[in-house]
Formats: sequence, structure tokens, C-alpha cells
Amino acid sequence: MTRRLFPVLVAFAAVASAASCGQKAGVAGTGGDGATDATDGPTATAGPPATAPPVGTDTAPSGSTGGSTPPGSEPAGSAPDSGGQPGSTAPASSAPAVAAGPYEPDDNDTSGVTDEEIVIGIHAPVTGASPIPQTSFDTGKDIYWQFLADSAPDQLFGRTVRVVFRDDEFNPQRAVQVCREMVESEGAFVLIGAGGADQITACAQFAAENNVPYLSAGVNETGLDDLATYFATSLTYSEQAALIIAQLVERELTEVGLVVADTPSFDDAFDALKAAAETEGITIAYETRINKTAAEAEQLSVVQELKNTGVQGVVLLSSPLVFIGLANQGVNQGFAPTWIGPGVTSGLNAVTNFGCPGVDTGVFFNPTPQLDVIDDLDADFRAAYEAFGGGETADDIGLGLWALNKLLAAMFVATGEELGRAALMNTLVTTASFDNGIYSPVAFTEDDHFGGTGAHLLDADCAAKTYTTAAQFVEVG
Amino acid sequence: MELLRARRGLLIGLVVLIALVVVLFATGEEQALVIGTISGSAYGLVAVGLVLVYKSSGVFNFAQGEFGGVALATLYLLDANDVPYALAVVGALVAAVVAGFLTERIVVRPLFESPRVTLLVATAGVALLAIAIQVWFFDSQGRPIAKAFTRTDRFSVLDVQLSDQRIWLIVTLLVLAAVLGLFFTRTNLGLAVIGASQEPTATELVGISVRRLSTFTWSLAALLGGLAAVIAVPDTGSFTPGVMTSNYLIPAFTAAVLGGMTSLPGAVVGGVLVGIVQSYATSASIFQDGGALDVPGTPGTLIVFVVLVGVLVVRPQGLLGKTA
Repeated sequence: MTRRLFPVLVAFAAVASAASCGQKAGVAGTGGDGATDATDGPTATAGPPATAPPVGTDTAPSGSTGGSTPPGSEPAGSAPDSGGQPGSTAPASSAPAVAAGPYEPDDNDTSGVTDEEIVIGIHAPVTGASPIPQTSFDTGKDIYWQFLADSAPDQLFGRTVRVVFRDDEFNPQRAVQVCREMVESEGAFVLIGAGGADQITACAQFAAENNVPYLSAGVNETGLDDLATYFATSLTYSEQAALIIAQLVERELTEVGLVVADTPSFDDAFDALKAAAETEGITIAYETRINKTAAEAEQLSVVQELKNTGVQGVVLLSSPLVFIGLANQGVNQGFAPTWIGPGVTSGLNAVTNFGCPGVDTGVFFNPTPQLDVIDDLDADFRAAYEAFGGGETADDIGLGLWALNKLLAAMFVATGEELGRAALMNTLVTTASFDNGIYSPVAFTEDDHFGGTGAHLLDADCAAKTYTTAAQFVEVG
Repeated sequence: MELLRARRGLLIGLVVLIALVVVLFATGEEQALVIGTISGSAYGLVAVGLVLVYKSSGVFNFAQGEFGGVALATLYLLDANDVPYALAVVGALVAAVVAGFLTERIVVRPLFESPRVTLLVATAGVALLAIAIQVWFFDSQGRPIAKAFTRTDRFSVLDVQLSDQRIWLIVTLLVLAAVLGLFFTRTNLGLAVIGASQEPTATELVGISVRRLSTFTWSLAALLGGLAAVIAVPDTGSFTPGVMTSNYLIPAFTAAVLGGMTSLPGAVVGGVLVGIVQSYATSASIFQDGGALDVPGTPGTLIVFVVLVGVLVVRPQGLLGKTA
């Protein structure tokens, strides 16, 4: 029997592996694996003269209220400009001078940029980690750029932006594959990671090896802190530790559990959360590293351990699907602690649609606020969705993409007409801060590419099956 | 003495169980008994289906998990279209049976005379195909799935709450194990299935169609896979394509091997034992960060493979199996 069973084990491993892949199988990717040689994009030459100035915004966290808010930046040492209207015929100004800085152009410096077009590549774990509707990404990925082209066509010196989007399937190897594909086959000028720490880390490392600027919301610091081309546009998980622990203090939760996904990417956040808790006198009564894709049996065991300790709060850093599983196991056990954590995807309304009633006690920090306050921060968002959304309703995934693209537009504008990868990155590290009115201001230096300064706190509301914004622009310290 | 030799596996099983209980209580991890029984019941149900097919045709059925996957997808679709839940469950089970029936007719029967390893690979292909079809329909995203019973605090055992859904799962496993045990020992059809697996030529000679029995067995195994899926998975609130293979098939296979591959009660006991060991490995401090047996990765997953390899090396016939 043993002899019969060993070949079975081999086949078994193959099927089980395929099952895991099945959970993550791609639905968005197109084309081959992109393993072709790098092809230089057309070199950008002198574009049309700038007719709309980069609109400076006040760096006040509340951003502009109500009115249109084209991208803005505040060059180092300069006074903020007043806002202009997109599409307005504001007085033309000359393009900003190309910033000097540590980055030197290479042969592929202007890949993905022509006189007419800038190509950007975005990847996200549409499948595998979270119940994110594919259509939200498809619709939301370029609404900001359509809005900008319509309302301020000269803002980017006559260029439009084409967005290439790929599902990385919550798989770091796949993320590298799609990033390579976007850069080498699609000619992406810059890469953006929309979520998923391990995938962002893997893709950012690929980008650094190829001198491609890479931006993402803040995730881990380990593995990213020495990458020259990586820039985090919001607080990293470690940086959010202080905010999370402050929330626990405010909620008088003095004994908590700590559950962090078992990936090396989260080691720094795990340590930072423990250190911040110790500093504030919060006791971590139970801590564990849970499987990234924990199954029911593990979820149930972890929830039972948490329940046994009697904690009323659990600091959680995991994928949304694991969060939903833990929260539902908690409901089954009559255990409903405050689930609090950093994150980019756990605060999405898709999680409440999917995970209620278990996730009702979830509160998560997020780079963007929720839809309940967006009209006060950016009146253009919903209007743009109505105009360019093809009938789709504006959602929070679209909001996240809108905010990210709006920030990127500010960076392009600040870089000026002579857009190249080195020029862009020099601009990032020499500009005092960027403010899209939705994120907290983003500020990089040559030595610090983790640019986030604050976050929004989102609170799950299962009665409405949405997250609401509990606090805006919460800043560290 | 002869009786003792015959029941050696049973005795080993009892000793292991008692030792496990003692260790769990001694280390304060006794809740793993309850949690493990809950998760192990689902493994047991899938394992019974594996054993059924193996007993009747000698095939390791890698598609067993995905019969459940078909049931889940059907349950989701019917429930989403406002079909009453009870009818949706029936529909889901019918879909699973149809999947088992078609697998037998289209894949197994044409390969009936082929080496067993060919059939084994064929069932792996069926599993992959089923997952691919689910991904095609559902974009491999997680989907919310409703459960039959919503009361979660019926009663507690060792301070672990047992929901109605979980009670349903455990009771189903026990009832099915008993019914199938009687079926294979007390009914003509059950005895015919056993006969066909052990002496197919002799079975044909006495006028019993081995091929028809094969259809029956595969359909019944698919029903068991479907039952495991529609009871166990909705309790987690969601399902993803391939979840039955990735989360249940390996522990179930381990349970079947532990039980002896040919023993239905063995599969049930094996399922519960695997669940308990897995739960213990997840929660015991010895396996946690800084513990004596701290290993990279998730100990609950790793321990299943350790048990599987351990049984194959030490006692390949399992606890209650018989060497053919």
C-alpha cells in the first residue's frame, strides 16, 4: 500500500497546488507572460507648451472644499499657489525646471512617455485576497485621467494618460510577471501597486532593478526601505502602529490580541505594533502569526484562543478574506471584539458587503476616507464618475484609484514637460509635499521614501453594509 | 490472541486517542478536542467518499473535493436567485451527484480496464477541470454563501460554542457513517459493491453488473462530497473556487489513510483525529513563536503532512484498514 500511495502523494501535491492557483487564477491579465526583451518606448520630445499651471494646493489636510481640485504640488521652499479650475484658461506658465537630484537618466528614461501619451501600469490582487469586484477596477482605473483630459487638457502638457491594469492574483511571483509585462510589453513609464504587501514588495524590487519609478500605498518597510525607485504615498503599516495603539487607548482597550499574517513582509509591522503597545501600556494578551490564506480550522482555533484571553480588541494585519473568516468565526463563538488594523483593502465596502455581520466591529486606517465625506473633500469625484463611469456607480475602489491617480498627476505636473523617470523621481525627493486633498500630504526626501503623514479611520457599519469615515486626516504624533 | 491481532489497529487507535486526550488536558489545550471534532467532521465526510471509491474501484479520487465544489457553486447560484434554502441544498446535492455520475460515465468507465494510476491521473484532471469551470463562472473571487442555521449558541462544550450548523455537520457524519456501515454489511447492494471491488470477475459471473455498481458508487461518493461542502463551508461565510480541494482534500486524504483507506469507520475516526491534531498544532504554545517546536509557516498545515507521512511509513494499512 505504501508503494501505491507515494505516487499518489506526488499527484496530490500537483492537484492541491492547482487548487490554490485556482483560487487565484487570473481573470484580468492579457497577453503573454511578458518575458520579452525590454523595448524602449518612443522618446518624448518637446511637447506642447504648458498652458495650465500646476495648481498648488494648500497643504492643510482638509484640502480644498467643494470646488474642483486639479493636481497640485508645493515645490520646496515655495509658497502654495491658489487653486485654479480644471479646464480653465488660467494664465500659462512655463513648465517647471527639471529638478536636479540623485537620479540619473538611463537609456530607458522616457519609456512610456511620448508627446501625446503617458503609460502607467497598475497591479492589484483582484483575485485571491479579497472580494473585490473586477468591474470596479476596470471602471475606476482611468476615470481621473479622463476627467483631467476633459477638464484641463493641457495640464499634462498635451499628454493623455493610458492606464494598463493587471490582476496579480495575490501572488508575488505573478506580480513580478505582470509588472514585467506592463513595463516591457506595454511600455509602462511608472508602476503602481494598489494593494497587497508581498506583491508590492516583489514588484517594487523588480522596478528598482530596472530603474522604473514605483508607487504604492504604504505597506511594509522591510524589503522596500533600500529600493531607490520605490515611494510609499501613505503611512506604512509600521508607521500606523502608533495611530492604532492611540485608538486602543482612546477606546480604553488595555488588553488586546495581535494577529498578523505569517509573511516576512509583516515582520516590521509586527514588531512596531508590539513596541507601540508596550510604550502605551497596552497588554498584548495573545499574539500569533496566522497563515496568509488561513483555512477554517486555523481561523477557528485562533478565534478560540483570542476568546479565551478575554480581550475586547484585536489588532489585525491580514488579507480581507482572513479578516472576514476570523470575524465570522468570532460571531459563531459569541466573540465580537473591536478588530482594528492598518490596511488598504480591509476597509473596503466590499468587505462589509461580504463579511457582515461578523465585520461589524471592524475599524481600519486607510489612505483615503470613505464615500460619506468625499463630496466635502473633492466635488469632482462623483461628477467625474457620472460623466465617465459608463453608468457605474462611484465606489470606494474607484475613489482609491482616483486619489492615487490624482496624486500622480500632481507629480507629473511638478516634474514638468520634460518628463522622464529620473526627472520624476528627482522631483519627488526635492518637492516639499504633494497634496491631492484626499490623502494626507505626501512628502519624500532623498533618504526617506515613505511619504505618508496621516490616514483616515474607517468604521464598519453592517446596518448600511458600508464603512463610514470615523476620523479624517489622523496624523502621527 | 487472534482477536487481539485482528483488532490491533483498533487498539492502536484507542491508545493514540487516549494519549491525545491526556496530552490535551495536561497542556490546557482540551478545546482542541471540540474544535478538532468540528473541523474533522468535514474531513471525515470527504474521507468517507474517498474510501467508498477506493473500496469499490481501487482508485484514489482526486476529484472528491470538487464534487463538493460543484455543490457549493450550485448552492450559491440557487440561493442568489431566491430559491428556498432547503431546495437550494437539494439542488446542490443533485448537482454533486450528477458531477459524480458524469465523471464515472465519461472519465472512469472508458478507462475501467486501464491501470489504476491512469484513473488516478484522470481524476486529478477532473478536479482541475471543475476548478477551472468554477473560476470561469466566478472569476476566482470569494463569494458570500448563506448557511442553513443561524443560531450560534445552542450549547457549549469546553467553552467552545457549537452552532446549529456545526451540530448538523457532526450529526450528519455520525448518521452517515452508521448507515453506510450497515449498508455495506447488511444489504445485498452494499455486499455487491464490496464483492465487485474484491472479485470483479466473480461478481460479474453471478449476474451483477460491475459497471452499474461503479456508477452507483461514484454518485454516492459525490453525494458525500456535496454534503460535506454544503454543511461545512457556509459556516465560514464564504467560498472560493477550489476551496474544497485546497482546504479539505489533503486533510481528508490523511484521514482516509489514517483510517486505513478501506474502512468507513476508520475514515470517520481519522477525520476527527486529523482535525484534533491540526487544531492542537495551531493553538499549542509549543508550536508558536519561541516554542520548542516553532517552525516556519503554519504548524496546523504542516502537521497534517507529518501525520500522513508518518502513517505511511509506520503503519501503511492505517488504524482500521485491511491489507488486501
